[in-house]
Amino acid sequence: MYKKIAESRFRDISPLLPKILLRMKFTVLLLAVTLLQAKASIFAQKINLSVKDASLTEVITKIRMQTQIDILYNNSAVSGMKPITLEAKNEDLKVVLNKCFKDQPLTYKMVGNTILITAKPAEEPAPLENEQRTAIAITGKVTDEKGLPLPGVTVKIKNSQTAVASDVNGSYKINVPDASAVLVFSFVGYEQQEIAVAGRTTINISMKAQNTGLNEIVVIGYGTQKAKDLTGAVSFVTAENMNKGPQLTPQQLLQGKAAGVNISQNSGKPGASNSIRIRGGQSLTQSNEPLYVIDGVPIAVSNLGQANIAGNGSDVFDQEPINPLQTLNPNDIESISVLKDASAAAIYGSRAANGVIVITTKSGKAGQTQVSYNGSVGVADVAKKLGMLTADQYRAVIKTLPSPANIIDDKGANTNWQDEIYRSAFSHDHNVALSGGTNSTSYRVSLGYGKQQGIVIGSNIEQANILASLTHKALNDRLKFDLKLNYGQNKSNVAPISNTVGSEAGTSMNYEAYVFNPTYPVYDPNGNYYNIPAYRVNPVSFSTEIIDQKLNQRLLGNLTTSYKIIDPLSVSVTLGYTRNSTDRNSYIYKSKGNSPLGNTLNGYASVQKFDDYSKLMETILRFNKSYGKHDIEALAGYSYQYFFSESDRITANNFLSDNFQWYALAAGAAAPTVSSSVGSNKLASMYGRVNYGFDNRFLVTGTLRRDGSSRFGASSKWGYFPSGSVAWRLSQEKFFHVKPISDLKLRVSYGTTGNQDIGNLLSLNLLSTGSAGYIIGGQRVTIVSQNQLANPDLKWESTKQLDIGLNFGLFENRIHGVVDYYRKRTDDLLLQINLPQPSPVPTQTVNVGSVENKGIEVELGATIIDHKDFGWDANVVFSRNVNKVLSLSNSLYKGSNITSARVQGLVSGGDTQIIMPGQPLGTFYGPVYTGLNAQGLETYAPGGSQIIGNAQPNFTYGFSNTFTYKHFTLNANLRGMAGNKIYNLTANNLGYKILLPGRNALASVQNDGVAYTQKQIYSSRWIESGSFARLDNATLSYDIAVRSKKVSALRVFVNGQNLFLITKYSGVDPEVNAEVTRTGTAPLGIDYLGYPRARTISAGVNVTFN
Amino acid sequence: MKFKYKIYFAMLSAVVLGSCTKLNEDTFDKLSPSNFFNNETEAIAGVAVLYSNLAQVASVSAPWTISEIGTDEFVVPGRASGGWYDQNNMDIMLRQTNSNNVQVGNAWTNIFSGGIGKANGLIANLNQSSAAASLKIEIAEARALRAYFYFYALDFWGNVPIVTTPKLDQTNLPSNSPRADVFKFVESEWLAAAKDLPSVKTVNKATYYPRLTQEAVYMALATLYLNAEVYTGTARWSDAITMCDNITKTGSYALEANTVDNFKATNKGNTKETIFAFSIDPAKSAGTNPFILYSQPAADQQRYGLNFTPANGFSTFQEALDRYENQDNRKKLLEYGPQTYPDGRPLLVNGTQLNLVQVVSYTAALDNEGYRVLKYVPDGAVYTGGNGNNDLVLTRYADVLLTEGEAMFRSGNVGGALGLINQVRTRSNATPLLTVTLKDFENERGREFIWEGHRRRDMIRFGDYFTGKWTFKTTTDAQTWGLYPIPAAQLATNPNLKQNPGYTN
Repeated sequence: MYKKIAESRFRDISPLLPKILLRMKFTVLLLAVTLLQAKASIFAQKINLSVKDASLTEVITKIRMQTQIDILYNNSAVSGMKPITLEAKNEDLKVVLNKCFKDQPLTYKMVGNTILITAKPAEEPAPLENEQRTAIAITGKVTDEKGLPLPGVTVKIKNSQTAVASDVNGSYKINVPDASAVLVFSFVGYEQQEIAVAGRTTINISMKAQNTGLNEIVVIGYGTQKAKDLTGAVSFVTAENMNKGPQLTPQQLLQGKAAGVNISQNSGKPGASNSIRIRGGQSLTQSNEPLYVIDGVPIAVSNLGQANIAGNGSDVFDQEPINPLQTLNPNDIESISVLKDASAAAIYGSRAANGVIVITTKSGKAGQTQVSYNGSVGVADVAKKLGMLTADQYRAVIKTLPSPANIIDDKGANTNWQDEIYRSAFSHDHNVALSGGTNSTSYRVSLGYGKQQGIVIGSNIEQANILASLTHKALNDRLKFDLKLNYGQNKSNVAPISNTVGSEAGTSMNYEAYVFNPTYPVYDPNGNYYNIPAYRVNPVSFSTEIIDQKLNQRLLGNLTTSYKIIDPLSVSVTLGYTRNSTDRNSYIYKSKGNSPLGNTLNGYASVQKFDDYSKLMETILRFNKSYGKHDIEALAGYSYQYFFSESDRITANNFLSDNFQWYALAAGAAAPTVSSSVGSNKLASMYGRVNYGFDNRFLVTGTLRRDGSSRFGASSKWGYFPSGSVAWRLSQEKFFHVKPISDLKLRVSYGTTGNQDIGNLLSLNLLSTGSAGYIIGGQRVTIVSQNQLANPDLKWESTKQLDIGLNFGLFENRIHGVVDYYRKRTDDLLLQINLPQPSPVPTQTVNVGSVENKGIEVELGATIIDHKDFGWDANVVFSRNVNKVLSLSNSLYKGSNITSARVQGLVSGGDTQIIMPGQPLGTFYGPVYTGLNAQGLETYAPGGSQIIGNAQPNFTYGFSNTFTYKHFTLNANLRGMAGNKIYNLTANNLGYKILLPGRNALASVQNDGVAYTQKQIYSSRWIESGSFARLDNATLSYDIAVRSKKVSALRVFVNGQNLFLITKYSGVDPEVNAEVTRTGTAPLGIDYLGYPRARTISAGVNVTFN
Repeated sequence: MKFKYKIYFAMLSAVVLGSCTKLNEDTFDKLSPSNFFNNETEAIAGVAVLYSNLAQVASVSAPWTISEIGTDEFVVPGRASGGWYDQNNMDIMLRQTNSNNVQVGNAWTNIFSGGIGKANGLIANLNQSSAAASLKIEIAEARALRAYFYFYALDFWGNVPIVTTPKLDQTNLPSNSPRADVFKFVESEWLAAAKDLPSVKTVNKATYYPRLTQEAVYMALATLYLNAEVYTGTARWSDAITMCDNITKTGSYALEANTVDNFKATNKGNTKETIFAFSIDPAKSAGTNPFILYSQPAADQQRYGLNFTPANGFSTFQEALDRYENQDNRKKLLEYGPQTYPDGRPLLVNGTQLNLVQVVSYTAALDNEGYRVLKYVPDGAVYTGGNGNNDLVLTRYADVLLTEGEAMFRSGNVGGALGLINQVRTRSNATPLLTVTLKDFENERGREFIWEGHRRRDMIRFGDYFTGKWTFKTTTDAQTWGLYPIPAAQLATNPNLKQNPGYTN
């Protein structure tokens, strides 16, 4: 997919060097001794050449190989070249070139040590000398956006054959017949401009790069399209527009950049996972995460192993799911496309209902070898701590409590336990990339390495990755190979911070920092950790008494072979392979002194391995042809993908020595426990798409995918996913005469996509065995029990989506935007329903119910100031989504409301959220708090549980700005949401005096008037506004103008992340999603003991060497 | 095309065509019922899940907890040192339970999903097996165990749906059956299963223990009949006596020398008193017994040389302690007052002798508040983590004596009753009674079966559960507290279920 971009951007100057290199060379040339000397020497070079009916390209290639000079030409002009046949043995270059261009419509000239090929001035000839005298001579200089001279630009008089090219200084001179003439400036990769002479004799012009305009090449599913030809809703972000700065996850690059794409980090942990919702969530109990496609290979997120170490009576370990993109280096990402509507996504059929994120990594470009280095160092601090009672406040409040709770176990210290576990965390990050190649073979290799401390003591992450890409063309470019290999690993020491502290005995490092007695010092007089048995663990001791290491590795490789059978037909075969593994090794030290950590275990080791791989085979036949005003692009494909995963785990305890950790499991005196599991699934698909365009005005796209999945019931293995869309470019119509509107396109699409992201084997009747046994007659019997009931009707979840969109450009696209309205309805929801009991299994996956999402998305971009020295570009994204559950029933299941997300910790109450027809997902359901009574006890509105809020925002927005001043650039991205509610489960647990004296409480208990006897109850008292605005990311960079042959770009920057946050939310951060359900999918809007966010400042350098 | 590319395409085509489109699923780590349960060994593997889940009624688990908490012999105070605070337990103790109570919800799931539902699935699979004819005992076992789960459902919630099929018809979900109907179902299932199960006289204990025998089912029936009046309104004293006689007349059972002998890890089916127990061997991932971990004070680590620190949780009240005479051997199994090592040396905590006092606060108890019960003694036990390997005892011969005695007393045979109660008392060196009252039976059961999961049922039968007063229980409560609320989650999944009377949420 990548190659498409490369081709289209560089097609016109291929096989020559990229323009940047050229420009560099021109600049260097100015410093050369004399032009003439260079010229003379070049023309004197000897050439051997023997070609027959060769194209100009071939000839130039051969000349280049012998002379190492640069040859530049404009592609549009080359089409008229006749085949070249010539013999030359040791002849001067000049002689050879003269032979080449004899009787050709083109000619050449020397510009510095570059040969510039241009159209022959049409009959420019001498006989018209009289006329020429009356003509007006126009001179000027052509520059690029940064004011650097742009040589080789074609300057043509409109409606005539007269054309010249700008020279090495960007200067040109052309004679126009009269003052009303119009000059047309064109150059590859830049927007064509028409300038009326209007009596002037000097016309200086700045060419605009084409990369943000309508001709921008957008990556879509199985291909690319020009932005102006898109008929579906696609958000496209290229590397230069992504969020910048070190330590970002690939998802964060996109945060606040694409309308309708809501990305929130699940925690502040280094390499944290994210929750992504594209146009709202529709699945009630299954994954709402989009499909990721990396370089054409779909990645199975649901198969991603969550090496989990809950259990063992211990909640202390981190339970956060692994970020599926953690091993991909953001520096290697070229572009990210978000396919939002059915038209864009339906080509991915049964996996597209949650939207598709298509990631394209960087490839090599033909040209001189370049080496670039990006590096940075940073420091992070915790952005916000919770306000717990200080030691003095703790003493004072306890004195007021009724006996016997007013007895303080006072050790005399004043310890802020949060300060003890947080630190300033340092990080450094490096990336080196090497790229280059010839016309037939190009490559890019990139290496990344980074190490980041966590803001919680004892935690860190070390990342390393390599990406290699190789492109090779053969058989006159008809055969092409594209190889991409990406390997990444990250190794982390994970802080034992869990947000599934469910039971009263449960604990976690940050939980202890909140509740541990503040009058205790960290260490007792003997230098040991102070603990308070049986349950209160010294917060600092977690960092040395528990080791929890995760090693996550991913290998992603794909090879695409494409062959142009006969114009317009080509075929490509892609073989893809991805392998992901997670190793998690954990050790809890023997309980030292009276530490509750490790009590009963006497040294506990857990070794977990999770491996999954998928293999992909894809064959695509493409057709691409224009007939007059008709453009047809079509593809038909077949794909087969196989997913396999396996895991195993061994735990052992009772070790003689802590030295063993997990290195010698057999040394555990207690018999080890072992478990393993294996699963697989298959997906076979046929798909096709036709894009038809008429006269650049009407565009039609039709897509059909037929998917078959092993996961579904015998009667529903296969499903069809069709979509269609039309677009009308009103601005291309002759009747359209609205001057300020430079582009206007209306789009409509409708189609069906599916969701199959459920577990394996869910349609079958199954028995399973676990690790449990039972002793009968002294012998251990392995327990076999019913694991699942059959559901042969299990089928796809299907989403029908209508999208109406408008693209517009104003004032020559200086302001441009996209507005989309969509409505999507998901039926046959794959619902893991709680079976009425008695039943051999508690739940079953069935197709029940419907959900609707509708909304509006706006993306606006504008160049507000475009001055030579000062520029300001701004982008605004806005989205509003309204989600509603329509039904939870079908003919079979009279579904009732589904409650979910149970309270955690010491809070009373059942589930906190409800899924109810007529209400959105993420609806909080509980008692309505009405204040305190005279006794200081909470009172609630009569009528029991009611709807008390919703986690869905009214709208989300992003505002990104780029300011340039001379060589300075400032990027600042503000992002936020409004109207969403958060259940502050952390405060519900910590905000009561009844915790005292055994646990510390929030400082708010000092004067909240709540009685000591009031127990912790879930109610609307703890539902808070989650609206926020965050300055997510700001980067100030300075481009150092380097006058060196060796260095072509040098940039230094400082970057800040999470610089400020405006919110009324009282918890550590409104964007922390607690995974309290232990299903791998965090419910929306619940904050419970999250790893707090950091505020990060970093500085770095980007440099490119030639 | 050049030769090398032709070769390349040939190989590529081979790869492409080699991928298949069959969409069958590989089951890998799972089994299909259609090709399992082919013989007795495989059938027993299926029955084992029912035993292991039923063990929850005798272990530290939700069903056991809700049969103890709320009585005068069990309390888990929140500790001032920052542990053990659990509102769910307190709500049951304070008669504030509602349908969101986590302990009650977990108990329901244990009994209905882990028990009855699994049994329904297993019985259907065993009946469909080609070897069904040779699996008579296992099918009877599964039915008896399912009835056991139903017995606990009958006891905790009373009006529960009776279901014997593995998969419920979603269009016709069951509603509550009246408690009396549930009683009848349990009775008939046990009577039927008893016919097919072997008698204790015919089995080889070395290979059969701890599976159900006829006599174990008779004991269950005796308990059912003893509580028949509570469950159905009609007393069944003589049926209770008949069942006890069925057990006694085998001659296979007798009281051990000491009550505590039943609970030692070394027994493993060797006692003459145990009727039904659950095997425990945590080292083989075959059940756990965490009583010592959950209950004893931390200093018991030194006292008993444990390799872990007990967590100082479960406690008992002054009222339970006061029931024992000082000479009663059973009182020695309670820890109260100044604590010593077995050899008499004082047990010190930070240099001071540990002195266990009665519970003063249920939210912020000091570490030495609450008396402890040493049920599953550490003598000879092997601990894996904090879990002992003592088998969990559900019914024993002392229960036969006290059940039959109470039934005799209630049906007028006071002489017979006195003889039986004194058999139990003399074994523990309690003063033999000269005359006997009904209250004596309640108290004797309290002394003998402390923390064995009987107390709630007994107190309801005797009425003290509602009218009695003890530490923290200061009110007289409605009879509706004799049933737990049906969990909110169950009412949500099955709209045909009705909440028990007295519960509004």
